[in-house]
Amino acid sequence: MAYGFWDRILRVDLASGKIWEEQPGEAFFRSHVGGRSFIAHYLLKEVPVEVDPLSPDNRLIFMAGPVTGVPLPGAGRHSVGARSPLTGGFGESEAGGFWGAELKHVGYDGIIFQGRAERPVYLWLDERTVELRDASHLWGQRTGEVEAKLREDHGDRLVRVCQVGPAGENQVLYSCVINDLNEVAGRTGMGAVMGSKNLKAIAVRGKKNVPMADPARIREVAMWVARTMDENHYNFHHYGTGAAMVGKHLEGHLPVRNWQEGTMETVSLIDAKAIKEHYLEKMDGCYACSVRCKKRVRVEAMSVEPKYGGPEYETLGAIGTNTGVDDLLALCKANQALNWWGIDSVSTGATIAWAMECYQRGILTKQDTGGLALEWGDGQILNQLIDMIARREGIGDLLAEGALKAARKLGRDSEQYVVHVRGLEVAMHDPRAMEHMKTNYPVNPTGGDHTGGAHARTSIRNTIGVCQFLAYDEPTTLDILNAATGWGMAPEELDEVFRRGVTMARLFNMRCGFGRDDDRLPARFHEPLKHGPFADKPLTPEEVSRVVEEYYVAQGWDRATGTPTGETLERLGLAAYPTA
Amino acid sequence: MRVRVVPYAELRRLLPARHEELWLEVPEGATVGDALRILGLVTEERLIIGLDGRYATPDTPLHTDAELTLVTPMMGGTT
Repeated sequence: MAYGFWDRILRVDLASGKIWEEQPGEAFFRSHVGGRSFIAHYLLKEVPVEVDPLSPDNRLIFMAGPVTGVPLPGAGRHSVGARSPLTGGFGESEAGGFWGAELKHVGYDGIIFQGRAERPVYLWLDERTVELRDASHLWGQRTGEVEAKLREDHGDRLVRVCQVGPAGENQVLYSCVINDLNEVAGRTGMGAVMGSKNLKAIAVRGKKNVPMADPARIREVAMWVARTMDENHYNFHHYGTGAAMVGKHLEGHLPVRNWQEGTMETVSLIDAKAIKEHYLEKMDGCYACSVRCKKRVRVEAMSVEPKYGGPEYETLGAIGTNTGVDDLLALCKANQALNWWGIDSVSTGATIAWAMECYQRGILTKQDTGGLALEWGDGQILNQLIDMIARREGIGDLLAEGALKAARKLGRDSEQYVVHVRGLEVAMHDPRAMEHMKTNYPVNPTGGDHTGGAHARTSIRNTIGVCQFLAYDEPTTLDILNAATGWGMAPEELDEVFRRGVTMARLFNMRCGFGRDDDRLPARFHEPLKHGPFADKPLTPEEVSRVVEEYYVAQGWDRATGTPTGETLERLGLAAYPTA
Repeated sequence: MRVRVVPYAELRRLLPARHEELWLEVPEGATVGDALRILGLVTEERLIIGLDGRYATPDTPLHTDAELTLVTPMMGGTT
């Protein structure tokens, strides 16, 4: 008997309505494990270069890991992947909450969609039923209404809903797939792919326990997390993310005004401490997690409801400091809007910040914006732009393309102000001050994402289905995987899983036309920081080239081109994968 | 002389319950490093320090009524 997974991948052809199952087998699971590694396998196998990301032939893949759904803090993670409509390359994003665990509790490890439904549909999944149902009545509805309606229809308040909001229906290129109303697979535009398939939601309800090889060890680790909460997870437990923004300000690398500045004197008006003092209703958690790092805010005067969560660091940085907005009420309202429309806060903020810089420089004028003054720090304009992007109205239609595509449409030499890697707007961590980001962004499979797809630690957690925030060291992480699966994996084998995953993503990106020249940082990060201890340490293109080449060599890729060598493909068991 | 200490996030464990800050008595001529030693915060782990809203180091001299901000780095979604 297998442990940690069911060996059941659900396949759904939305065009024909055909539904079937695949059983890849234990050897396959052990080789790829789950998450983005699994996604890379299916994209390589089934999505050739000619497939447009928003065409029916793209795949939309939901994948848990072997630890997803076991009763352990941090075990609520799953990944969503497809060819990205935002970047044109490897698209993947992960989320927490309850939905991924619930999928495992139904008895599936993942779902792969293909085709496009004639009319809007949702997938209903419980232990007895797998069924595509009409979603016409849900189309156009915001996420909160959709979740409530599906729970009412199924007569169960514990139905877990993963969905696209209206922004995904409108194929905003950085729309997200959102579950439990405030957990988002935010990056790379997976919501636009789901919307393009006329797939509104996946509603799941299951009660099966995930089989574990060593439940006592899982319980022991869970108890350790609870027992050492203040020692290991104080910040997350009491504030969530965003409690140390003042530190970035002091050191001069806070993302401010499209990364033109690194400080914002008023940052303490909008950080997690301010949220806790003024608007926090409670901290909440994901499946089985005692850390409970998720904020839920309530602002009655602005009808901000706790069910949409509260702004976390990436959001506070992207739509806050990076657009110059220090109005916490406006940011709470914007956070709710992002979650009910279903748009990625990082790309939204970064794209608006790019537009504001263009306005600052006279590249965009009121003639282009329909009379809107895109001034830094205007929370009202910020909220207006978010609504316009979601509806693709006016200037929002241009901004819905993401910063790079918008700049290329606009022209006027505006592309130089786009802060992106491979078309993905960079997350809110400055590589000029953070070594970990300098070595991640240029080679990360999805581009400018901060969740560390290029690094072993973070990539392995994604693959096995464990949250990055948990203070598990590497031996404990491996221990957790082995306790769930019974594989008795050694560290070297898990390291090979990581290398196999990033190499498959590399092959897919190469298929999509990306190469050595795309593995770089945007021009803005070669400008010096102005204040603090990093101001006299410029990050040069030569330094980034060195980092990139070192990464290539470490992965067994050609130093000059980044192409995985034949020897590496052979060693990782990837020689048979199609490369075109 | 005395300085006002404003710890952020996990460093708030330094404070008595329901307090936002603490006043610390330090000798004349003391530096930030002296204040950290009194607080028991001499550690190998990285600490971000602000004095009156500006970046500071352990060598930075303190002055009466200075505001000493203490932050440990943390990130969302990564290590």
